[in-house]
Amino acid sequence: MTAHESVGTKERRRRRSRVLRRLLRNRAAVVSMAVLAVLGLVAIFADLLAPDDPNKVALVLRLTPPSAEHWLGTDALGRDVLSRVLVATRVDLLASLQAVGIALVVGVPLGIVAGYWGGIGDSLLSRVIDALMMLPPLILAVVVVAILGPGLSNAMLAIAIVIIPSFYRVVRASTQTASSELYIESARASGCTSWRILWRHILPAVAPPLLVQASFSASVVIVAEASLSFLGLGARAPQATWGLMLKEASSNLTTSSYLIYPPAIMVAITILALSLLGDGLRDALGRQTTDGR
Amino acid sequence: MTALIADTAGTDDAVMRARDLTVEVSTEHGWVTIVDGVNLTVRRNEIVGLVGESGSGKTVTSLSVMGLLPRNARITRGSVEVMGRTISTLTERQLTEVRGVQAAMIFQEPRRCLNPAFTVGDQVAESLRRHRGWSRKRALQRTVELFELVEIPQAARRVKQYPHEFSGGMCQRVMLAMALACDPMLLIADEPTTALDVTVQRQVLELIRRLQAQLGIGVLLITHDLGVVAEMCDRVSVMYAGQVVEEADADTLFHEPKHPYTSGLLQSMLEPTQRGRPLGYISGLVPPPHLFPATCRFQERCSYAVDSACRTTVELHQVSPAHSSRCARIDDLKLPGVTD
Repeated sequence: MTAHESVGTKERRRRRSRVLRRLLRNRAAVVSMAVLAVLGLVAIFADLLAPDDPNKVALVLRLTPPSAEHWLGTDALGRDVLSRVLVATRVDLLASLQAVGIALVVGVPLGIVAGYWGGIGDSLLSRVIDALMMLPPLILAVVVVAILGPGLSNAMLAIAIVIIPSFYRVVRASTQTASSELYIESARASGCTSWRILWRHILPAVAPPLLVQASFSASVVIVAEASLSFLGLGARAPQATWGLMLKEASSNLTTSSYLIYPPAIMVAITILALSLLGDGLRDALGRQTTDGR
Repeated sequence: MTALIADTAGTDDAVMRARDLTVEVSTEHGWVTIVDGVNLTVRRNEIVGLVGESGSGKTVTSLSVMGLLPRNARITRGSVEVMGRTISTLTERQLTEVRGVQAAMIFQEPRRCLNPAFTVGDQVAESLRRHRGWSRKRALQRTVELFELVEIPQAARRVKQYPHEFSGGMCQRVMLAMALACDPMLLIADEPTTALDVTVQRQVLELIRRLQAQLGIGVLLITHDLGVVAEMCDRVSVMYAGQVVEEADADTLFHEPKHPYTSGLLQSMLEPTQRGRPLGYISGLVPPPHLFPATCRFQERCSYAVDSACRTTVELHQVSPAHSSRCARIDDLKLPGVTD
C-alpha cells in the first residue's frame, strides 16, 4: 500500500514539475527569478557585503563622485552610497513582504468567504472594497499615513490597505468559479463540511491566480514605497531605503546627478523582475494549458 | 392519502420518508411552490423510481432529502426523514454526518463530479478518512476493495489515476464507490445514466441493481426514462408539476395506469415489438411553477379532462392499498398501459 502513496505523491510531483518546467522554459521568468534570488541574497547578507557603515557620516567627503574608494560615490552627508543601496535592498524587500503579507492575510479570507457563501455579506463587503478601489491609491495611502503617522511600517500598512482589493477580487472570483463546479456539490453530498471543501477544493483552485497577483502586487508595493518615502511619508532618515535615497539625491540633482542612479536602477530592476516573474507564473499556471494533459 | 401514509408508516425498515414535503423557491414572482405535498418512502431492499419531466420537482425533492437545497429554496410544510432523523431539524454539522454515511447521492454528470486535480482514489478515500477517521493507507486499501466492488478492472492501478483518464461510465463507477464508501442505507441516484451512452447506461444500471441487492440498501432512482424504471424499480412515483400524480408498484403502473399523465408517458415510449403503432405524445408543456393552476394541474394538457370534475383541486385517490392516483375521473376512466 505504500506503493500507492508513493506513486500518488510522485504523480502530484510530476504535475508540479510540469508547471515548473513551463516556467523554466520562459527565459524572462528565469532571468527574473535569478535577479530576485540575487536581490534576496543581497538583502540577507547586506551587512557583510557593504564596504562601509551605511550610516557613517563623513562631512569632509560629502558629495564625492564615484571613485576607487567609494564605488558609487558619497551622498550629501558623506555616507557611502553603495553601502546604503545594499542595506536599502533588505529594508525594501522586507517592507514589501510585509505589505503583501498583510494584504494576503486580510484579502484572502475575505475573498473566500464572500465568494463561497455569497449573500448579503458578500454584497456589503464587495461594496466596501469597490469604494476602496475607487479612491486613487497614492492619495489613499497618504491619508492612511496621515492618520497613523509617518514611518516605514505605517507606510506598508497603508499600501497593504491599498492592495487588499486586488487580492480580494482575485480570490472572490476564483472561489466563485470553483464553487460552481459540480464536484463541490458532490463533495457536499458525501458529507464534506464547508471548511473541508474550502481547504481541499477551493484553496488549491485559488492559489495559482493568487500567486500571480502576489508577484505583481509586490512590484506595485516597491514603487509605492519609493513614492511614499520620496514624499517623506514612508521611511525616515537616517534609515536607508531606495525611496528615501531618491529623495535625498533629488535635492542635489543639479550638482551630483550620479546619486540618483543607484536607487533608481534598483527600483527599476526589482519591479521589472517581479512583473516578468508574474507574467511567467501566469503563463505557466494557465488553466487552459493544464486541462486534459 | 391518509391511508397511504398509515400504510408506509407502519413498516419500520424505511430508510427515507418524505411527508407532505412542500418546497418553495424565491423567484422574480416571489416565493413559488415547486414541490407540493410530496409523500415518498424508500425502504430497505427496494428501488423506488421517481419519474417526471424536467421541471416536475424530482431533483428538488432529492436535494431536500440530502439537506442540499440551495439558499433560495425552503421547506415550508412537511418533513423529510432519513433513517428516522428529520433533515430540516439538523444542524449543518449533523447533516455532514448524514450525508455520505446514511444517505449518499450520485449525479447526472459523473465526470464533472470529480475534482480534476486529485486522483480518483484520493477522492474516494477522502470520504473514509473524514467519516471514519481512517489513516490514508487504510482508506486507500479500502478504496481498492470498493473499486473491485463496482467492477473497475485493475483497481489497484486505477485508484492512482486522475479523472481525465476515466471514461464517463467509469467515472460513474467511481462516484458509486465514493457514495458507497461508508455503507449508507440510502442511495439517491439522480439521473445516473442520462449522460452516458446506451450500452454503458445498461452496465451502470445493472451494477446499481446488483449492489442494491447485495448490500440490501434502499435506492431512490430519479429518471425521466420509463424504460429504465421498468427494468429497475420495485415501486414508482410519477411527479407532475410538483405533485405526485400516481404511485404504484412498477408492474401495476405499467399495465394499469390510473392517471392520464402516466398513461400518456407510457404511450410515448418506444416499443420495438410494436412496429407501426403511432407514437403517443402529450401536447403542451409543463407550466412554469408560478403558473401552476389550483385545479388539476394536468387538465390543460389532458385529453380526458371534463369541465365539471377537473376544475377543482384533486387529491390523491386510492385505487388499491398500494396504488393511488391524483385524477378526478379515476373511477370512470379506462386508460391504456403497455401491452405485452
